[in-house]
Amino acid sequence: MRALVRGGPATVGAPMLTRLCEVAIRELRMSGAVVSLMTPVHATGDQSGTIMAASSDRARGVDELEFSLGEGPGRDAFLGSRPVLTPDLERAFDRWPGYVPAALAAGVRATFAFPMLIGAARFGVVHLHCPGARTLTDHDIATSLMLTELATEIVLDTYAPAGDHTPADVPLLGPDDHRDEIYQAQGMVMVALGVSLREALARMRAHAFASNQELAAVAADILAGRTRLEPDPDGAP
Amino acid sequence: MISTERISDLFVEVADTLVDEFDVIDFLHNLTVHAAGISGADAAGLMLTDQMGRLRFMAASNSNGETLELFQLQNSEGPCLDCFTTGEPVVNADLAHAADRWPTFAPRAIQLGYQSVHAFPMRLREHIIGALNLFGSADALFDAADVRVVQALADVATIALMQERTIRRAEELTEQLQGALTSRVVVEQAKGAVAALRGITTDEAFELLRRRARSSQKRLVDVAQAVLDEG
Repeated sequence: MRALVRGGPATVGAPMLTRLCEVAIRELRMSGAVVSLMTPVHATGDQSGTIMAASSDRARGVDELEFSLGEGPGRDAFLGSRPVLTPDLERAFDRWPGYVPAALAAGVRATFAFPMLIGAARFGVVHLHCPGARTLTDHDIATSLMLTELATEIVLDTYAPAGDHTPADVPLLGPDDHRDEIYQAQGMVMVALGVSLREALARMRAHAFASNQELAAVAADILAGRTRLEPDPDGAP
Repeated sequence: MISTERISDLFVEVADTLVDEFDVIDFLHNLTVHAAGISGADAAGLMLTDQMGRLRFMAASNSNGETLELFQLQNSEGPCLDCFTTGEPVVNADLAHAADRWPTFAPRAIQLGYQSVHAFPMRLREHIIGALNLFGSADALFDAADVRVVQALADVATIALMQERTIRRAEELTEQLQGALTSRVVVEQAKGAVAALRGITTDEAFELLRRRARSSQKRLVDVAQAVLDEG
């Protein structure tokens, strides 16, 4: 699946995410897939988030409903930092009195919203739509989570400072071991450089890529005080 | 042999936890401490599935417990992984005779001073969501009654994690599990941030976060989140 998404000609974020949406609808038998970027301000307030990619204009329209109505499963998934899986919107009128009728009118009956996040570093949401009531199998859930992780990885690399190498196609966190150290180092870099938690991990990944090290090794060096990442010379994120 | 008095204390504490604002990280940590204490084991650890076929370390009663859980994950081998894969408990496994079964894990556990190991599945109907591991000495072997009690403890952990008491759908399980896994990552990130802010170790930072949560009667994960939002 990684190869399907990463393997095409485009190497920058949006086209790769569009391909990810296409893979998602095919693999998961959905009618629509949308990748939105959000910040807490977007999700709680007046501004709308940015729809970065969608499988179709129709799918994009369904997610725009959430931003115009100020409620919906994607926003809740983002704010709650966990998936919001709704197999049947007909039974969710109480939760989203505005969104549900609008989504049903747009031909969506089930929605599955997965937040793109790494702990407290939140990026946005992968949102899947289905025209009929639908329960996800364990296999569907694993596939959705994997695609969400991949989307997070693609979005994360857009946070790497300009001029740095973008670590194209390096898995999000590397091998499974020492992940706690990676998360701890991420918090440290956030404070040390005064950058967002998202940017902190992007910097660590870029450093690992440029110095040809595993991310876990970079994290261990940061925790031990052996490596100090420098502030971005351009001063821009 | 399991102490009934300690069991009653534990269930009182679990009941308290479930009515109060629920803190998944603190709860699982306490549960591993109790599981070790009650069973006479020296260390306990707990892992949860990320639903992509991988297990994630969640809590341990002490640093040896943590070391052995992470060691199993790094080497893709050990009683917790077996238990998660088969859904069956591993009881009274003798580490001295387990080199065939766990060629890297068994010697490491012996090196840390353990002789026996047990693992109990965390089951929710057809789903296995994780496993509880116990490490002990040879004279801490479990009898049938002990096995029932420790399995009950693993079941309690499962019920507590699945906060919505009547989980009927796989979707609800995913919502709860992914939320629990995220909570743990948030706490780790906050440990790093606090360590950098104060010039202290991450262990000291964790103690500070826990104290702050207790004194303000907030959940550890909320205190951790607040630290990261400020930063």
